[in-house]
Amino acid sequence: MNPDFPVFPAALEAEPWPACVLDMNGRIVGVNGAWDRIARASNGPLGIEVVGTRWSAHITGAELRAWYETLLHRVLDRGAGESLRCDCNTPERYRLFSSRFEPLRRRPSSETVGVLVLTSLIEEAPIGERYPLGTPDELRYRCADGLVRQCSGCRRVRVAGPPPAVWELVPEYVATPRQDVSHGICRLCREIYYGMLPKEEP
Amino acid sequence: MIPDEPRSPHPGSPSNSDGPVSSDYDVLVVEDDQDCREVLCSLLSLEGYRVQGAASGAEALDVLAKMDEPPRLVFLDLVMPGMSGFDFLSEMRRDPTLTEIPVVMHSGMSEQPYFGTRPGVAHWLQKPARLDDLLAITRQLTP
Repeated sequence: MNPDFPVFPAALEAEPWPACVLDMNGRIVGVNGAWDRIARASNGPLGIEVVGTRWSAHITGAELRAWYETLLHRVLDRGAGESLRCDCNTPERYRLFSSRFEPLRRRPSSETVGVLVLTSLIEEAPIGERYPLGTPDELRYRCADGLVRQCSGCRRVRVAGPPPAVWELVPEYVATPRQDVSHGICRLCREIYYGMLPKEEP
Repeated sequence: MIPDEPRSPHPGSPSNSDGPVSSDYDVLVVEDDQDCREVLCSLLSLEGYRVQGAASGAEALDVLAKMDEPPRLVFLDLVMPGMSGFDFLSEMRRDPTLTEIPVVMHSGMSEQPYFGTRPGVAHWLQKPARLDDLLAITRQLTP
C-alpha cells in the first residue's frame, strides 16, 4: 500500500476475494491479502508486482482494456459506483463473478481520490448444471486427417474447412479430453499469449 | 507464414521444413499445427536459436536423416495425424546417434498425469506455453 494514499478501507483485508485500490490516474496503490492468495493459485502477478502500475495494463486485449478504462473514467467522473457480472469458468465449475467499482472519498470533504475494485464470487456450480452437454457435430469439426483442432488457449475448436479459420466454443470438447484432438492456437490467443499475429489467416 | 514460406535457412530465422536442411540446427520443432509451429520457431529464432520445423513425425524423421549433426533439442507435439509424438519418439530413439537428444513434449493437455513419466521425455510443456517457461526450458536443455 502506498503510504501517501489517503484512503484504503481496512475492512478489505477481511474480504476473501481480491481487491485493489486505484488512484485518480488508474494506478494501483494497494491490494488486499486475498489478491496474493488468488494470484499464487492462478499464476497471476503478486501485489508487489502490480502496485504502481496501471490497472488497465493487466487487462488482456485492446478492446476489453479500452472498455474497462471507459468504465473507470465514468466512475471517477460521476463519483458513482458501478458493478458488472461475468462468467469465469473452469472445465468443471461454473463461476459467476461480480466486480464492483466504488469511488473512494476523502473525509470529510467527500473529494473523490480513487476507486476500489472488488471482485467476488457470487455463484458457483458444476459446469454441467449450467451448460448441459450434448453430442458435438463431429462432421462440423473433424478435419480430413481425422483430427479435431482445438485452441490450447481458449479451448474453442476450429470448424473444418478452408480458411479463414472459424473457431467455436463447444462445451463437450472442453469438458472431456480426447485423444483425437490436436491442440493448436487460434488467432486471438496467438496475439494474447505471444503478441504475434500470423501474416495471413491460416 | 514463416515456417512454410520457401526460404534459405540462416541463423536466427525460422526455417522451412520443406526447404533445404542445414546441418547445424539447434532445435527441431515437430508440430502439426501451423500456427503453433510458426510461433515456436519465431520465438526461439528471436532468441538466436537455429530452428527447423516439421509438420509431422514422418517429416521430422526425414529432416533428421538429412542433418549432418543432430539438433540439440526437440520440441514434440503429442497428437498429430499419422505418427503420434510417442511413435516419433520411439522411431527417433532407434537411431543410436539420436538417443541423447532431450525431447520436450509440447501438448495441449497436461498429459503427464495421464501417461506418467515417459522414457526419453526431458520435460512436459503445456500449450500455450508461457514465453518465460519456453525459453527457460530451452536454455536449460541446450547448455
